[in-house]
Amino acid sequence: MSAATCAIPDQSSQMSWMEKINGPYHKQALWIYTAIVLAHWSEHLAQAIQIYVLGWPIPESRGVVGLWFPWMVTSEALHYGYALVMLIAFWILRKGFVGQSYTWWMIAFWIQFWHHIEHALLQGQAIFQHNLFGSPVPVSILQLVIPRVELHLFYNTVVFVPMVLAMFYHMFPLPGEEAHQGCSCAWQTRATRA
Amino acid sequence: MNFIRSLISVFLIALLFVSIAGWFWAGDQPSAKMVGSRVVLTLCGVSSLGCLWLLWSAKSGVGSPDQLNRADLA
Repeated sequence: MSAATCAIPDQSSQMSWMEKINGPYHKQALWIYTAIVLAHWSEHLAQAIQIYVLGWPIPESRGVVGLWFPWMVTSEALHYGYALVMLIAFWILRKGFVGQSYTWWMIAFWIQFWHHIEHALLQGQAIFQHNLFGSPVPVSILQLVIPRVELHLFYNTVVFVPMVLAMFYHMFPLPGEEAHQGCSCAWQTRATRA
Repeated sequence: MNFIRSLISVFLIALLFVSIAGWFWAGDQPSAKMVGSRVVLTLCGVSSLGCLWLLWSAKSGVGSPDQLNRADLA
């Protein structure tokens, strides 16, 4: 069994909230963020299974929560809000990462940045009631060549993969990188702690 | 370490499964949509396999190798 360890920086009142969230509270912040991302990711996977495996029509394939609350799937504002929250969280939590984990985290950030731009385009069309390229529905740039369900499954994949690798290398740092971490996220064996 | 790897792998294997299922499903779509769908679904599958490989080939620097092995067994 593994347990968290590592010296936790002094939680003095002199620390800014950015220092706290990337230091003593980095672990808690990442757990909350991970739970939100995995819940969202599960919805996309559920929707894909409904379409590809169960053969449901695309408009009826609304994931799990969307079956009871269809507006959650159709609301561009909600999609944009989630993309924005995710982008902000990537930025705020970045300073807690070092070395290899930081590189992966920032790759995820920049891909999410583009994903957010695509959602901003969709949200803009919904607000102004004017769709781009003469489309009958709001459409993003890559959606011109890739259907929406597959496109957003892809976007979430290419954000999820580097994010997962960043968190993994953050929890299990490479040799020499652990000393630079100012949070308590790194796991260590009980034997090492003793 | 292996517990976390396994947890992440569940999501990656689900993604791989969905990508393969979607690839076959896309075959029934109009040709313009089929190409776009299959390209990104292939990338999703390759990404999940790449991530699985990176996760399971990673070596942690925390603790000695002996201690890590004991942690993995626990």
